[in-house]
Amino acid sequence: MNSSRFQEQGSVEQVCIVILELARILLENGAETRRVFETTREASRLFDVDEFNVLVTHRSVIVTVGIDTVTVTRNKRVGTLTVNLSKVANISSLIAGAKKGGKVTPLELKEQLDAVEASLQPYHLSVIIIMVGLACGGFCRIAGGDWLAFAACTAGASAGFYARHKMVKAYFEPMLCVLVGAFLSAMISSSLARVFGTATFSNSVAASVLYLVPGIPMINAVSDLLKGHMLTGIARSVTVLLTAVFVALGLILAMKLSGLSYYG
Amino acid sequence: MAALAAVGFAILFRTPLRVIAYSSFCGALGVGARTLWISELDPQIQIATATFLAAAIVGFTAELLSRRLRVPPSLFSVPGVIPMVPGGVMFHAIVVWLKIATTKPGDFSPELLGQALSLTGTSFLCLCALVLGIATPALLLYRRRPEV
Repeated sequence: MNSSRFQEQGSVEQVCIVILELARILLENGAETRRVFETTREASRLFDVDEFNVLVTHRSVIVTVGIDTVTVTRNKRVGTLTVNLSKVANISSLIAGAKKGGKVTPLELKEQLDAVEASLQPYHLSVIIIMVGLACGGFCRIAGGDWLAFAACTAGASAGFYARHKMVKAYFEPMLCVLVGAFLSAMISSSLARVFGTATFSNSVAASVLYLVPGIPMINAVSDLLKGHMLTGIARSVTVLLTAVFVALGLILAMKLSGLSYYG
Repeated sequence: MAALAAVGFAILFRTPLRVIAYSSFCGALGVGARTLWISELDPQIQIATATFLAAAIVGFTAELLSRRLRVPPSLFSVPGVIPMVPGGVMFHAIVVWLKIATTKPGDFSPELLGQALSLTGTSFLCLCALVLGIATPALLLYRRRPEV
């Protein structure tokens, strides 16, 4: 919603819209249900609301705000769940700052939220690619691979990550991106590991796809389940499980093609 | 090495630059604590129990760091426990399940099923242990904070 249309709304509507937007950004960037509850509650205190309620499901948020005799309920779609902890941190510090600074108007808060939403990636793509590769290499070393396996694993993971990134940018189905990423990573790391002649061949292949394991969604899913948000938790768990199955499929495909029988 | 893995994932999750060093420290701390616990203190311990203890240590460290640096504790605790997520075990479990699914009904082998069940159980327990571990400080310190 643009600013001019926003200003035509009543004041309770404005509060509701801003808090809804806040909840959406938090959810899309890797916050669990409990954090959304707490942060929106903090935000609602900025505006002296009398009644406040949030309902979070995995693809939408519903917020009810009541001030005096006026009560507004609105509902918003939540897009694909990705992870960007910078935005979550920025929103937390924004709310904390607003609390310290006293009064804010809904419009001010909305402009700040828009700025957070439009903020650029904190890291250049090349940095992310190299670090993802090194992270998988690190896993390979933890699992007992040698330095040659480390090199093969790093290269495979970086290449697979780049391919998946390009596919996500081209709006392919997320699960298809995961499949292709896993396949390429396993293919490249297994070929390289063979060329380098490492003794710990299988470690390098298995570790090269670990960047695809959805760590934060997985932790969010279990933490939702443990804190009693069963529906959201189950929905998130199923997404995680599906991703894991697609990773395994990509890996099996690559193993068949490279003629390697790991795990039988 | 665990620190390296944690930094990589911290960057993948777009953690702000000024806290990345601490996130990686938490990662190394977690894996280090778990490895030490299994190898030195108690070799008979279940991997899930060791994971829980290590994750609790990470959780408390994250709580301290978040108070000092004024950012949410999840910025440290989540990248900190990512190196402990049982990715390899989970992958192995899925491969075994797929193997069960592709064998002919006559060639069904109980060993395979047992293997699949134990791998799945281990990875699920480890995950729960991770989450409980990093939630421990919040559960102990903020018991009375109301939910919305």
